This record gives sequence, C-alpha cells and structure tokens, in this order.
Amino acid sequence: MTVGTAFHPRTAPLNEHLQWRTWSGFFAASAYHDSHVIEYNAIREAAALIDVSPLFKYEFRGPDAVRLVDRLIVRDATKLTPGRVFYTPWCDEHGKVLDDGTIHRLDDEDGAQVVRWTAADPQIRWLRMNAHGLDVEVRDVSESVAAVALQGPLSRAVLESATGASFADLRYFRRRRATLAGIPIDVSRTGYTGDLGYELWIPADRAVEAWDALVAAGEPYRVRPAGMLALDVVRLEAGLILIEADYTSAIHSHIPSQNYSPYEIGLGKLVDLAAGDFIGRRALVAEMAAGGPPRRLVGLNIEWPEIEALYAAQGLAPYAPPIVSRTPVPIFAGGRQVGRVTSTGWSPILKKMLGLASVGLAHARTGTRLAMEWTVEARRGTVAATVVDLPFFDPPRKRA
Amino acid sequence: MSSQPSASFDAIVVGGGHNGLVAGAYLAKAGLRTLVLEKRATLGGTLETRPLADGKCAPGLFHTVGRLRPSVARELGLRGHGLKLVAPEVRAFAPQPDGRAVTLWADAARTADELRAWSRADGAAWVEFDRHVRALAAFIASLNDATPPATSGGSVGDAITGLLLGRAFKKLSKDDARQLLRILPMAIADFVAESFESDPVRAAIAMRAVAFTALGSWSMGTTAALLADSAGNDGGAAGQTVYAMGGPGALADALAAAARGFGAEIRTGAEVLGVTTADGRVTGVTLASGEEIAAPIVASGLDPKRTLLGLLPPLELGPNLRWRAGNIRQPGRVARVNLGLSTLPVFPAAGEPEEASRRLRGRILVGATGIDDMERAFDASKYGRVSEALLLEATIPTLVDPSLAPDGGHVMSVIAQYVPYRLADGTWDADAREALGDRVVARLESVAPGISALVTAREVLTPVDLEAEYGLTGGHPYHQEPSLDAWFAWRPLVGHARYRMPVAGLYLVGPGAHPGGGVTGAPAQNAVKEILADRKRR
Repeated sequence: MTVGTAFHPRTAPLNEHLQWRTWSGFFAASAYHDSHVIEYNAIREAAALIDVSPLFKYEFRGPDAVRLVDRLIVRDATKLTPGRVFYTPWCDEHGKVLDDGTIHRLDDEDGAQVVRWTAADPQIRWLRMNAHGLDVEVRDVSESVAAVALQGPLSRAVLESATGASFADLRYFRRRRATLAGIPIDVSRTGYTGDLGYELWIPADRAVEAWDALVAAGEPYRVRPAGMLALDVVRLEAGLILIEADYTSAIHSHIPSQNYSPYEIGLGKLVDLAAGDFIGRRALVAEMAAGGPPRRLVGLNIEWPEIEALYAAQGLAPYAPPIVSRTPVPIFAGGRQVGRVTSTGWSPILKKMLGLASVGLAHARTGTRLAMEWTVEARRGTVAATVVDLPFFDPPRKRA
Repeated sequence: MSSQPSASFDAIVVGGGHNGLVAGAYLAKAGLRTLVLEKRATLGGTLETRPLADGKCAPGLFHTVGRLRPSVARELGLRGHGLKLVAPEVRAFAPQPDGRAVTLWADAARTADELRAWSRADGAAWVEFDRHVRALAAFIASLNDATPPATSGGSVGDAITGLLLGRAFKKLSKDDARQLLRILPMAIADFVAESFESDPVRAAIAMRAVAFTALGSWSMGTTAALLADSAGNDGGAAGQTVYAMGGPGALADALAAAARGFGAEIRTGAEVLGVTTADGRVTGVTLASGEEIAAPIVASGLDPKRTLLGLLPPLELGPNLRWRAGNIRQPGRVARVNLGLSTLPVFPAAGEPEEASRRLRGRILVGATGIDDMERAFDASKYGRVSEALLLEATIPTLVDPSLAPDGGHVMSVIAQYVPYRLADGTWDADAREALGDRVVARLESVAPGISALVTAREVLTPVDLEAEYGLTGGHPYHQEPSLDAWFAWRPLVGHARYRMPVAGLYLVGPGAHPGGGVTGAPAQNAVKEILADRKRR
C-alpha cells in the first residue's frame, strides 16, 4: 500500500494531474504542473521544493557512532566531524556497492555522537549487523523525519527569509541546526541537483507547518514544488548516478556483471584505501592491485546533428524527449558493443543530449568517440557520442 | 598490532584442551616452533581430574576416553608418556525400577545371552545389530579421517577424498550401503525398534545417541550421533567404556608430555584475548596480560563461536559471516555431578556384591527405562525445566582405579542429561545448583537405595558452570550441536568445514570442526594435516 509522506496534505492538492509514482512505498509526484519543464526551470533559475521524505533515514547514537560509519563507508569517517556531511557509497565484503547516500554528523548530544544516515534502499539489518561490538544504537527514523530539498539559485534567499538567519557561512556539504517557524530543523548544504541548494530535515509531525512557512517565504522568489521528472533532468546534468538505473545494488544483482565496485560508478575518487579498514576494503585493494575494474562510468555528449539526421531520414522533424530515459541502450566502438548507456536525456540549459554510460576501460578516456544505438520510429540506428568529463553542468554557485 | 611482539613462533595453539594439546604435539612433531596457550592453571580442559572436598578425585566433564583415536595415541607415543587405559568387560549397565537390569558387555555373545532374559528375539537380534552398527560406523570412521570436501570450487584433494570415500562406501555390504542414507537421519527410537522389542533394551542402546546433545530419542539424526560415537573405536552397539588410570586428566598429562617431548612450549594462565591480523592474514595473538606474540599460524581449540566472534576483529570476520557464526547452535544440556562415597553403593539390580562390582564398572545408565521416558526427560529441558526423571550416565571409576580415592571409599561421576543452560524460572544460582544435586542423588536413590547416606563430598557443575569453567559457549561439551546440519562438510559452517577459518593462517582444531566432539583428538589431528599442507604450499 502506498501512503503519503508527511508533506502529503500540502503536496496532494498541488498535484494538478495526479501524476504520482511510488518511491519506497510513498507517493512521490512525478510532476505537479502541466509540464515538468517549468519545475526544471524553477530549480535552475529560481528555487524549488522537492519532497525527498521517502529516503531511508537512520540515526546512529552512541560513543561509537562514527566508528560504525568508519566500518561501513569507503571514506575516512574519522574526518566526519560534527557539522560535516559526506557523500559516499558503501560496499559489501566483496567490495561491491550496496548503496550510496549522504552521511550527516549531527551535533553531539550528552557526550554521544549522533549521525544521520540516508539511503535509497532499506539498510537497517546491514547497519545493525555491522554494529556488533560497538556502543551505538541504530534507529530507523525514516518516518519520523521528513525531508524537503530546497534547491536553486534563489534557495539561499528563500531559506534566509524563512528562518530569519544567514546561511552565507554554511559551506557546501556542511550542516547545522536551524529554526523554521518555531520548528527545530536541521539544514544541510546538500542536494541531488548540482545547484545551490539545501536539504531540510524536519520532525514529521510538523512537516506541514514547515512547508507552509517555506512556501510563504518563497512566494516572492517564485518558489515551486518540483517532482521526480524535473529532478531526474537536473541530476543527469549534474552527473549524479541513480541506483537501479546507473548501477545495481549488490543486494539486487542476479549475475556477477550486475555488481559494481565504487571505481566502476565514478566514485573511485571517494575511496580511501589507506585510511583504516572498512567493509570491502580488502577486495578493493585487490581489485586495484589487479589493474582496477574493466569498466568505468563516463559522461556522454550525444551528437544532436546525428539524431536530427535519423529523424530526417524518415521525413520527420527531430524530437528531443523532455524526460530522462532509464532504459539501458547498447554503445559500440568499431562495431562491437563496449558498454551500455544507462541514463539518457536532453539538457535544456546546455542544449545537449546527455548520457551516463558504463563502458570498457579502453573506451573511457575523455574525447573517445563511440557510437550509441538510437531508435527512431522503431528503426535502429547509431549516433556518435563523445566521452566528456563529469559533471556536465557545474555552476560556481553550487559551492559558492 | 602496533607494539612489538615479545616473541615469535611458527604456530600458536589457543587453548590447552585435549584437542589443543594434540594439535600442539603434531605441529611440534612436524618441526614447527609451537606455543600452546591455556587460560586455566591446568591443562586438558574438559579432560580433567578434579579434586573433591573429601580428598578424592573425580573426572571433570568426560569420564571415559575410549573414543580416543588409536592413531593419535600411537603417533604421539602416549603410552610412553605414562598413559594407561583400562577397559572393563562390561560396557553399560541399565538398572530398571523392577529390580532387573539390561547389561551390555564387551563380548557380544554374552550380551546376547543376557538379553534373552528380556526377550528371546532381542537376544537373537543383538549380534547382527552389533555387526550392523560396526559396519556403518566404520564408514563414518572413514569420513571422520578425511577433511571434508570443498563445497565450492573443488580441487585434486577433493577428488582424492571422494575416491577414498567411494572406496569406504564400497566396503559396506550391498544391504548396509543401501540402508545408509535411510539410517543416518533416523530417530534412534525408530532405529532400535527395527531390531528390539523390549523398551528397556531399546533405551539402554539409545542413551549414547542423545548423550551431550539437545536431541531427544525421537529426534531426527540421533542414529547418526550413535554411529559417530561408535566410529573409530571398539564401541560397537554397546559403546566404549575405557578409563584412563589416574582419571581423564592423566590423558591430558600424557598429551602435554608428548607435546613438550616434540619441543612445544606450553604456557598456562595465559588467556588469549584476540587474534591479530594484517591484510587478511594472521599475525599472532594478544594476551590478557597485554603481551603480543607473533606467529603466522594460529590454531584455535576454542569453540567456533568463541573463535570467530571472540578472537577475530569484526571487520576481518565481516558482517555476514558474523551473522552466521552467531547462529551456531550450542545448546548445552548436560550437568556434572561428582560424588565422594564412603563405600560402594548397593544397586540391587546388579546382584550380589562380587557380581555387582563387575557390572558397576561400566557406564551405569539411570533412566534408560524406555524410549518415551527418555523423550519426556528431554521435553522438560526444551522449555527450560529440569525433568524429575533425568537421564544419568554414571561411572564409579574407583572400581578400576582405586588411586582416585587414596583414603578408601569410592567416587561416582555422573553426567546428567537434559539439564538446560537457561532455566525458564530463575537462574543457575547456588540454590538451583544444589537443588539439581539433590535431584540427581534422589534419582540415584531409585536404583541404589541408601546412596545419599554414603555421600561424603559433592560437586555440581551446571551448564553455566561448564561454560565458565571450560569456556564452552552455551555449556555445550561438543562445542556445537552434533546435528546432521552441523556435520561433515557443514561443520561448523558451510564453506568453512576444512579447518581453515576466514582469515588466512587461522584454523579451527577443536570439536566445532569435523568430525566433532568427544575425547578423540580427531579434529586436531585432521586439522594439523591441513595446516601443514598449507604451509608447504606457501
């Protein structure tokens, strides 16, 4: 049974076409408006509210909370001091990625370390299994904590207006406590848009009040609710991977090739093999010692003129689908398949057709030209796609 | 891992129980600089001769040693180190409430003769039953000698193992071979019922099938447990009854002497807190004193749960294996009661004094009155209660070895079966312990009236005491329940049955490894072969 999030009393009436999808058992709006493009524009030009409450959220509390994080993630968690947020994957014993998410070091309370752990999939069993021997309590707070992403170039102005506090000093991937309309909330400078933005962590029982306060404060800035379709476009522009689209969790893999190491999904730069032991480290050391995994995540600039030509060949006007496709598509070099394009979509701001792809190491270098399958009117063709650096879109305001 | 180790060895054995000593002896014999570390002040673990308050001595946990693998005794020269074994002509004596008794003798013909008093058919069935048990047990013994095959991959070694097992299987008669797979998972109740009609006869045989387990006479797989008990020794259907002169501790002494003779160093009072590792390999051990000792090989005689969860850093073990190890079943269901007695108690069912002293030299089985009586005693323990009708296996070792009672009198050693580790009501405090002792003595009164007046000293060890005293997690004398799901290639865990634990250089040499529990030395003897094979490979 799908249920509404804590914001549902407010988001439901806004969803003009009842375009819902299910996200971890919750109703999530695909788009609130006639077209998600206006929501995309809000994220990139003004500010948008995105209900991300369906994320799985866990709280670690105890003297060993950070030690538990350190056991689990590929990064050096000893650097996760209060106020910092890490984006990281975590692996199983074989060094294969289970999930990725942000880990927030909250302020210590009564001498205990407190951590907020977010995930796309349920993790409670894994987290508790690994807490053996540690003095830490792991709780699932997915339903007691609501989360809304306030994203876009004007998001800081909206947040400051809503809270009456300055957020100029809250740096990228930092967090701190705040008060919104009298509600104690937690604000992290994080998001899934690649833009200036914040995520607000709110007691679920006061989510509606918080929403109203944000909407009221955002009105002068034309803040809009944004759904999953718009989010998918901005995350692709930002080169951010999506579980079950760009990689498969080791929990859900059915065949070995569906297992991915962090090095295969563009997260290798986060892996710190030197800083203490963590689950999967030994396997990753061995993988790197053997020359690294044979495939890599790359960004693709898919040549628009060639797509145009495929349409023209059938007497059609070219069409750029506004929705990101998560259907994997084969990609070739010299007529042989060398990988798959996992996310494909048009970037309105870059005016480019973009793709995230998993390709063989030999084809992963920036500038490599590959040929991607492209189907028009059920007729298969190929179009040129050039490997480019990620992220595709990286405005200075994201970190400023 | 940071500080400098104080010393270094080729191999460290954790635990100076009998398997630890066997491993230490074989490793030293192979030329490895070997150190055996024992937490207690004495060696031998469960194989111990304990002082009683009245100056007599009694066995610690196991009171007979007839399952000791003959090749271990031979290869380690235990006789030369003072080991003297005595096997009385009687194996088991099961007095009944009506004053009669079932007696099982070493001589099958004699047993058959006596069983005729119970039933002509039972008497006639004994010799064939004994042959059948010996034939099937011989096959189990050949499994016990082998390292279980890998459950994935497979190697030349596995092929050889398969070949050997195939040959052992072929040695079975056509009928025995056909029956084997049917018989192994059987409840002992059904197995004995196929050959015998008298309930006391069935029960007397079935006692060994449930000994030290949390299984009842109607539990599946108990026939395999009976065959395992008879495998590799001269037990047959009656089971072994062999005493070490000087008590079971004398066997531990001989093993320690053998190990030292081969050059092993043995330290008592040395508690190992953990195994140190680097890059997935064992580097040594850390002692409770803070001392670190380096060795590329660590052989653990501790139970598998203690070895995996207690000794290894959690990240070395990994969460999944930790989860699996946490589910290893160790339901201790036996308690020990040792009695100092002023004189030999009278068992009316054993006959006149001279005849009685012959019959009482074996294992005295109290409660072996019927298959369902056994199951009922088991039932109570499932729910954390102690049955009023406990099953007892008692021995009077002083009948064959008076040295245990230097000032005269006798010692009775009692293994009380179906005493739960966890009580439904209350805990194993002093009151509960003494109540258990009273219950055991009252049970003995039913077959040896007047015995309570003879008691000059009494020691009661509950399953919780056995855990504290001997480091047996859950109080289980076999380190892990000997059920079919924890047998051969599945012991202690699927994928880890070949003595190698998940960190290179760490081995399991205790009875949590194949072929399991009891005083055999077999897991250690098998494990050292694998340790040496790995060492050659490196």
